[in-house]
Amino acid sequence: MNTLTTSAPRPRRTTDVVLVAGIVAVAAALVRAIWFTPMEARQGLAQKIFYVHVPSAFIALYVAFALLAISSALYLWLRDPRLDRMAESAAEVGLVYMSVVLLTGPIWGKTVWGTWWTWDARLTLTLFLWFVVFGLLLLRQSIDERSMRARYSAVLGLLAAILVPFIHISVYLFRTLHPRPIVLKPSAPSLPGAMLATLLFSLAAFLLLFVGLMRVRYRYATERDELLALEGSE
Amino acid sequence: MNVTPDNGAFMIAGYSIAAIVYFGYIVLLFRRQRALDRRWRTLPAPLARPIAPPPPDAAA
Repeated sequence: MNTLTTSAPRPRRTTDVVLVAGIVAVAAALVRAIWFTPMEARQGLAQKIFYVHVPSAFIALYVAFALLAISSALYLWLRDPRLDRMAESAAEVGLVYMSVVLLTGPIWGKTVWGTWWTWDARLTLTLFLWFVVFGLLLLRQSIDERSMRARYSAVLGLLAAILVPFIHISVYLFRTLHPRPIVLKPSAPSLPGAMLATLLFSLAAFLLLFVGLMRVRYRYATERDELLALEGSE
Repeated sequence: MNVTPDNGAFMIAGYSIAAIVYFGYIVLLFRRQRALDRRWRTLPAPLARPIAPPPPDAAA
């Protein structure tokens, strides 16, 4: 008898090239921001936090949480576990980016506004979104049944993403300390060329890092689910 | 006249915190992956996954 079996086929893995490229690109972007970009005259060096704060916010809100919403909606339609893993990964990586936004913002704000924090619409909604996505990840930990976990978190993921447009327009709807967009607006960006070039470079670098982190996180989720299926834990 | 403030320490603090969060997360990802790899390695033999159906006479 020659029943063909193999030990559990764990995928061969090497260092993720995209992640390494992302780390190098972010380091290069920061070097460019610190040493090769002019200093803003009134805000001083603290303004250079802009090159971390804005790309992190852009990617968290418009890439990670958009991906979370799309994956969640598609999961509710197609019930494909790969979409659930994609939503889970986007939520976690997006939360990391959002944490950077919420930590670097007050440091910059202290120098410009004279206060670490103010409960204006933009800041409060962003903090609220952080808590909703954090809650989503906690919810996933607390439900053992796989399809129920995926369904509940897809609904919460969609609800979280609904906050994103409100965060974007909050600076137009309410009087806030937070400035209005200077790049993502109907008219041309109101940034000097050198600063805009550094911002775009930084945005590309953080996007590359995001793709690398997503690849590693998604692969982890896939291998974990395969292992759980083999162990019969679920 | 504008006087540029001397606030480089805030820039360093901002960049340092961002670096700690991002690198901290990367380290967390790798530690979690290593823990998963250990679980794969210790998977008991009966759980080995069949890669082809058994031959017809195996049922007999």
